[in-house]
Amino acid sequence: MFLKSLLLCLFIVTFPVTLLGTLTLNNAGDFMSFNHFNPGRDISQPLLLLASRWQVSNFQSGSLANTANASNQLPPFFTDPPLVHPSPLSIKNGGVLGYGLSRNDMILDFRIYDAFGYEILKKEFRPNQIGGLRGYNRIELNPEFFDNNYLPAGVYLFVFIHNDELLGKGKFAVVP
Amino acid sequence: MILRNFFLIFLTLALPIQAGYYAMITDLGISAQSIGLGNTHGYSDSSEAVFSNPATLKYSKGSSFSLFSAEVMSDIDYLQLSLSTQTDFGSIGVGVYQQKVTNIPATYEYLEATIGMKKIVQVGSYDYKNSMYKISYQHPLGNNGSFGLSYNHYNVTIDSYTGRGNNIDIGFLAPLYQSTISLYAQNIIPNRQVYYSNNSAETLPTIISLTHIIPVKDLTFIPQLSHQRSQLLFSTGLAYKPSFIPYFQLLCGYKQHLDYTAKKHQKFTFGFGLTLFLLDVYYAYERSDYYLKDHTSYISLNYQL
Repeated sequence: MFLKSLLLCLFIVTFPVTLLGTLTLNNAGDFMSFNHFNPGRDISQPLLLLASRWQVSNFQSGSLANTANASNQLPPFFTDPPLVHPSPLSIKNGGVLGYGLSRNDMILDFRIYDAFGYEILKKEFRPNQIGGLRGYNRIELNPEFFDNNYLPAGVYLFVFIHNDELLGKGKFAVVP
Repeated sequence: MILRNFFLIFLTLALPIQAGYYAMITDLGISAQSIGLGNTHGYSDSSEAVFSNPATLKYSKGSSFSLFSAEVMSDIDYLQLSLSTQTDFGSIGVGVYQQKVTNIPATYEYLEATIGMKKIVQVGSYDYKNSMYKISYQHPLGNNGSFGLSYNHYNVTIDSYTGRGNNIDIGFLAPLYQSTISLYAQNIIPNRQVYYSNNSAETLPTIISLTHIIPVKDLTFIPQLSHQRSQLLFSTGLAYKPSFIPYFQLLCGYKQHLDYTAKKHQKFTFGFGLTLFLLDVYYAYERSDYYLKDHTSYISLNYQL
């Protein structure tokens, strides 16, 4: 997605040479910033965007501020189901929770429950931040993620809630 | 000098070594009756006492069979089976308590070149099983008291990992005027561990519960104080057995409870029991934190053989 978006977007600074900048996109392929290749040059010249797959482009004072992809018109869902690796997980050795999101404007409420049904962890993943990016997200599962609480060997259930509705759920096992 | 040495030895034995605590599955509750009474000990009259204060086996007449089943969050199954019988030299009981989860995703990580990032995919599934096996013995003491002892064997299977450990429980019952005092200590050998096949270990927590069973006419009031993982927990149960419906019993309870991370929670519980000839049927209800199901129901059966 990242490379595809880069190829589709050509930035041309009119004088004296072409392609004098680097374009920074986020994991979802949306515009974040533009850095000039040579800050010594005058970059006040107009920026010409030849082509884009972005459906929405927002400008501030004539500059491209941010974009939104057509995918944000999709309903919220997991493009890749939430899964934990390795499975079973050893917290001291660390692991990853990975999942794909269809949109980048979702506030995700993430909760983990122990085998008695008690909620032992609650986190919020915000749009355009790790855990709330459109595309694939990887969350590090290390002792810090669990607030340095020891998790005994066992099975834990988790849910993702968006707008007070269940978006997805899963389970993982922990070994000491 | 002797006192100081004794104190040092006691500290060495009693202080936990550097390992996390094993999660005791019996903390959920050992039967619907026990959960309905706020997870209190010392009130049971069936073989389920094998998983509670074993001294309580004295209330189990003849031979007894107990079955308890629950499904927590629609994914985690609990099952308790126990059997006890009275002999000329005391009561003997055996039981198994099991926690089981199936279809846990086994995963694989690969590099997805189009996004330049590793993705996780499911490549099968595996099961988790945590079992506790018990053998109990109860012997009467003078002045209507009772003493009980249980041997516990712990067995955990998580995919290809296994864990094993064992420990001992002891319990006492002593009459006090019209009431009864129950003292129950679980995993009394300090710092015993469950050892896993990946060379790691978890410490079996020592849990001490002091319960007072106070009958007042048709009511029985059961306050309890427990010490577990350096925390004091208060529970209480109230059983109402109306004299005009002797086969019916109403239960309610309050409990302070530790989750897997040793955070304290509190809950109210409700339940009822029906006696049909030699069969006792109990139902208990409590609220749950789980987003998809805000309550949990428990059912248990006791049968006098």
